[in-house]
Amino acid sequence: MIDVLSRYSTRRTVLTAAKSSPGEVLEAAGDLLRRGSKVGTEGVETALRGLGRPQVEAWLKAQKPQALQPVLLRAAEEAVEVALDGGEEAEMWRASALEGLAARDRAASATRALAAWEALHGELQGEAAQLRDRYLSALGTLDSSLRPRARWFIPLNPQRRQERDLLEPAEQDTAWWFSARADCDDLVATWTGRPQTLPPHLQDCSDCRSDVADAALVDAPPRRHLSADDLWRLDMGLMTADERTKLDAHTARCGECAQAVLALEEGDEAIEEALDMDAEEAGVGRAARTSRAPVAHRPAAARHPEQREVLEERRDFRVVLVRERQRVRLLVQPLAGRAVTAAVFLSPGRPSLKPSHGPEGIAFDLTTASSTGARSAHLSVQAGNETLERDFSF
Amino acid sequence: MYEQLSDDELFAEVVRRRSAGEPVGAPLGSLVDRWARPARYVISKIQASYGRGSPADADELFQDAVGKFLDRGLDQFRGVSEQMPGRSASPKTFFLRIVKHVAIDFYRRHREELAAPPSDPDDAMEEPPSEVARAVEAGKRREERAEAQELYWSAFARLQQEHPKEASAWELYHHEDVEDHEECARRLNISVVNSYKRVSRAQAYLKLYLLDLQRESHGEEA
Ligand SMILES: [Zn+2]
Ligand SMILES: [Zn+2]
Repeated sequence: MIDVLSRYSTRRTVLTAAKSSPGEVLEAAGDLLRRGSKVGTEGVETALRGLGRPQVEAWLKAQKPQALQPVLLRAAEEAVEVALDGGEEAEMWRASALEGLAARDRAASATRALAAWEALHGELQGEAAQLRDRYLSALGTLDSSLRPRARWFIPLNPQRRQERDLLEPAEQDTAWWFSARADCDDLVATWTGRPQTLPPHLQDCSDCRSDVADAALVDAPPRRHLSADDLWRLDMGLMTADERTKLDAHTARCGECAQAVLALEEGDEAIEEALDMDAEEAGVGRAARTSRAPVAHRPAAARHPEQREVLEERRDFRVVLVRERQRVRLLVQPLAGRAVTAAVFLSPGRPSLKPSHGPEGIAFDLTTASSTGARSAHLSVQAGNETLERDFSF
Repeated sequence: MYEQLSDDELFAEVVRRRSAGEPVGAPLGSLVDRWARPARYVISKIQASYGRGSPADADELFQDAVGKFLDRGLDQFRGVSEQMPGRSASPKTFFLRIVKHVAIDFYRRHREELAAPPSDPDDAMEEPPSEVARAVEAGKRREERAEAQELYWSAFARLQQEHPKEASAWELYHHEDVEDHEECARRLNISVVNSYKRVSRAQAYLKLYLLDLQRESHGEEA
């Protein structure tokens, strides 16, 4: 603590050093202003009075706050390495990560000093005022994107708490790089393991509770199941030997994927049978196939064929009523590649039935309407300049 | 108007129109109408294999297969028929394979919420409203789970990019079910200690990436 405190106390020398640049003076002044109760603010006002308007404006012009983004992201990685490395390099990571946080903090100090400077000299005007606003809003954007990632800095918490406690209370919350998640040290252990009993902090802190819950998927990671594409390539014989080995290892342990592979084979048999049935029906005896398709095995669809009734045929579209067992659908099929819109109204003033768009066109399911006693509806179709308005029954 | 054409001729017409940028709806419709019955037979067998399914599903699956056939089947068919003469030589067989895959994919994705007893497709009735509500609810949960998993895989992709060694140890240990550090070490040609270390580093980074991604995706919604 003494260390950090004395580090800021020595910042006072920057205020009066002849070689200090305006930016250095602003940062040092802000460092002291933001920690006034702990380190005092002597010399700050004199130093700020000594900064001329052109100097301040030139400094503003040179600011690139967005350059802090990569600095902080790198610091975040380094901070996590402090926890993960565990070796001799951990302290090196820590020092480097803290340097990144200090860079963000210096920008906060400069901002604070700039406000104090304006209070003494009068507000910046015109282009300089615009530059100031842009600078402040860039810092705001940076903070709102990085503050939610403060957990990355938890491994630096002992140092961050020291820094936070030196700041004036009103400054602490804004300085999220020092203060956000500064008491969440217990969370680090959950990154690499699942503690048997949760320490009190992890039960009480809502941020930590949701972090633990939201990251739980990693503790029981999803397996790499066979994708639809994997199955397709397996079926088509397009898998490499290596892929096959991995696949076999997976299906040996995963019932779901094993079932899918089995279904592929059963599907093949079904295809053979279906082809046989069609061939028989066509009267083309296939000598090559053994008769594997008993007549009793007729597909259900064969006994309940779909009935299609064309209600309307126009140049640009066709309207078809499709009945299949208990189901009734109205299809509006675009014909000439023109965009077609359609609506079906069961009664005037009610909204249209919800259409679904499939390869056959626009479909309206009338099954529910039919089962509730409706027998007719109004159809409205628009294709280019052509429109159709008609009632139909189903 | 297409009755006199054979499957192959009709298929050739679809392919021709498609490459000429002309609408294919009419010849494609006639073609798949001819295949509707065998397609439904294949679907019923996949339904039986999964012990579930309804005629309503079959309808949807058939339409889906037609879409896939048009989307990518037409181009793939040529390659496949050259590679595997015999098995998939006819467009019809190829279409039935697509039907098979569409059906398997559907019943894999709908595993959990369709735990209803297997029904004889001939006896199946329209689903009562409570069933529909349950299916909607289950669908929502499935979507949330799918979203969470999607973020997990994005987090893993980021790990692969930024810490490839940790990612390959994690992949082997967890995604490929090895779950044994000695075996992992042997396969990766590293020490057992290193295998532990890489998997545990991967775990930490995955959690941090996943949490970042979740906050980002929630931020976008807000
Ligand atoms: Zn906490
Ligand atoms: Zn699997």
